[in-house]
Amino acid sequence: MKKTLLALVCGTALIASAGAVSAAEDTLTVGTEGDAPPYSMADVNGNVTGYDADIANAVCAEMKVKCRFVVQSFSTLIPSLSTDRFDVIVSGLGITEARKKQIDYSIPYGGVPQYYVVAKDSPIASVGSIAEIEKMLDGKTIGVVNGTTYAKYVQKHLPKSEVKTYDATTQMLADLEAGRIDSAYSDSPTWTDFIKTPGGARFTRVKVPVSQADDPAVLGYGMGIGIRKGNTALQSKVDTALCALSKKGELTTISKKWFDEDYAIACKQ
Amino acid sequence: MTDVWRFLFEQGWAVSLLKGSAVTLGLGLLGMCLGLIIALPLAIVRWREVRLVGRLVEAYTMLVRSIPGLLIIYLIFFGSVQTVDSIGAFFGFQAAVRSAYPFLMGMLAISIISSAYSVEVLRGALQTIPEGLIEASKSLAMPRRAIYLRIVLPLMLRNALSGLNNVWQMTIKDTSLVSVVGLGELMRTAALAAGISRSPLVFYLIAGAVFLLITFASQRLFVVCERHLNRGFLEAR
Amino acid sequence: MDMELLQEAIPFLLKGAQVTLIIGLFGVLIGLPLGIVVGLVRLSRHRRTAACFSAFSAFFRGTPLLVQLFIIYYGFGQLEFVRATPLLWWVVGSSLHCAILTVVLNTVAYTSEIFRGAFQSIPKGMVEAAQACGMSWWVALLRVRFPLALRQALPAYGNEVAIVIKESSLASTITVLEITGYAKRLMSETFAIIEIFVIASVFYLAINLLAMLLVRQVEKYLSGGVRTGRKIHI
Repeated sequence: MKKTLLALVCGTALIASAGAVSAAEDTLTVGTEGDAPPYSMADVNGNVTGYDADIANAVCAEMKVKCRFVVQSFSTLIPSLSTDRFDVIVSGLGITEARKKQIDYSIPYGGVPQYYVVAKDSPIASVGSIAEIEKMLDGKTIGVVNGTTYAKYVQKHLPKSEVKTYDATTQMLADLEAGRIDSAYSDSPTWTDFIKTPGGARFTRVKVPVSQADDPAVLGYGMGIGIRKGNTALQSKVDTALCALSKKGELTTISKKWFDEDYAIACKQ
Repeated sequence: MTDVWRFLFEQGWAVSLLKGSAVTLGLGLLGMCLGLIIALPLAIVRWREVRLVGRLVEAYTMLVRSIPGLLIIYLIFFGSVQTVDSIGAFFGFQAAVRSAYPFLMGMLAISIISSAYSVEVLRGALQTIPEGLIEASKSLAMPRRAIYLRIVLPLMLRNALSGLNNVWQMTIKDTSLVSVVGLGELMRTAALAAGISRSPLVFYLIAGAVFLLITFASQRLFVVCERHLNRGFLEAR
Repeated sequence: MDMELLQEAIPFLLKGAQVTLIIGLFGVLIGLPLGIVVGLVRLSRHRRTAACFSAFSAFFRGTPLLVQLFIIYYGFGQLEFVRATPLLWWVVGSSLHCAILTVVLNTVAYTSEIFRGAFQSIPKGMVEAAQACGMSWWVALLRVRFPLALRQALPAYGNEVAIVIKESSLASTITVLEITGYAKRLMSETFAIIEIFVIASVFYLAINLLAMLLVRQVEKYLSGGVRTGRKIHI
């Protein structure tokens, strides 16, 4: 009994000392979804690749710190940021007024249009206007990711359709392929990536895009880096870094690499 | 089939599944132990029918056993970072705490859930101890500590073993719930692999097989323990 | 607590409660009779059938419900022949039907274990007396064995009912909108985590209390005046 007690005390002391050694290093912890191609894709070892990963790494390089990624489901990112689980969020986070009440943002670094996606042989595929899409999707099932501005948009504009919210983009895509949902709503890069996969080949975007300007209250304006409320020091550092990257043209390069298009938003300072 | 084989070994998913299983086992064991440490004093309080505190404990167990584990995990994961962070800062290893945060919070949630069930099991076991034995030890003027350590706890352990085995089986399966907050245990690793490889059936079946292995091995271990603890007791079971 | 938040959250959670109750009801209405049958089969003399069902029970008791849900929803949903067969797709294609199927299979496994133990604990003397009276196997089952087993199993089955209701919350991971599903959605929209958690917990507590009261009533009715002195473990 005494021996086990002694062992326990020694063990705790050892762990505590080991922890003290590995403490103070200059790292920026970045929260990201890890399950959303092509923005953020986590592999087996926890390394994250994708558009957001590149943006985060570029910002870290500008700020001369190391980046450490934490992968969590999208809807849990903002609450975790508010409770200090990581320093910033880089995960295609749209800037909206509702979110601004919870967290602060950097300047926007990109803005993407959104589309509905349906099977190629669906009658909705050739529709010409948003109003018509909404009419035809009445009573059908649409997939969105929980916590995104897209989810809010669909719930607001299509009250008579059945909206299925998924915890991860890959799960939504799996159900779309399986035919459990008639349609799904997300942004252009997600769909470009999905249609290139073998399972996504029989799907197509409905040609009419939805831009954030169509409903800024819900869709917001641009993607930004989320920062904990009140952390103005970090916010100005991140803003400076983003501005420098924008002026160097890095943001455009990263956007073209992952999206084949330039969705970067220039720094206005 | 060969595709999956390649996926498992060339890209190292088999190793991560093993790592995930280790995390699952660690989470389950630590959670169960912490749960027992919490449950024992609470069970004794209930057994002794201490006035107000006994009622509080009863309310606690009823609450935790009625609320789904998923909700409890959500609450703990998002409700207590500040506290854990400050404790970590006190010991000087904030960064380590941050990186181990999901594991610590998962362990806390699992221990809360398992402690609620353990309290009931231990209380039931304590109630089956014949009063006569305790009266005999009191008449021998044994100090209270000796009564508990030498008489009550060993007898309680023997009676509680079957119930505790059930709680353990439940606990190890509840660890899969912690995957929803991103902890890299077995279920989450399988889900990541399934998402990337687009072959969910294989990976979820593998996860199921590993859980079966763990529960089966636990069951055999329990039988051995029961036989050991029942040495000398000739009652037919 | 924010009145506005309550007003926004409660209608959604009520809708979710309906779905939770549906899952729970199907779980009990289908799970209980099937569980009793499987429990009896596992005790039968036909060794191989008994072994098959014991294996089924061991699988569903040995793996987490989350894994079972994902295997059936995402795993089977991936198979071409499942997608092509209308009957199979009616089950696997809909997240609610899938959730109900998995919960039912899970509870049948546990219920069969409870009733297997209950039937085994009936004193042999009673069964022999019934046979001596000339009762056929079936009559002996209905008149002697089943009532005794039911009385023995009820406390444990009461626990199982509570577990079924709690496990319905896992259906939210495959997009079913029951209480936890709406709670997750509300949490991510309003960011009021603790408040939504409390409200959702109140709903679950209410449903569980209702279920426990029902089980207690059944136990009282079955005792028919016999004081068992046994308490239901919630």
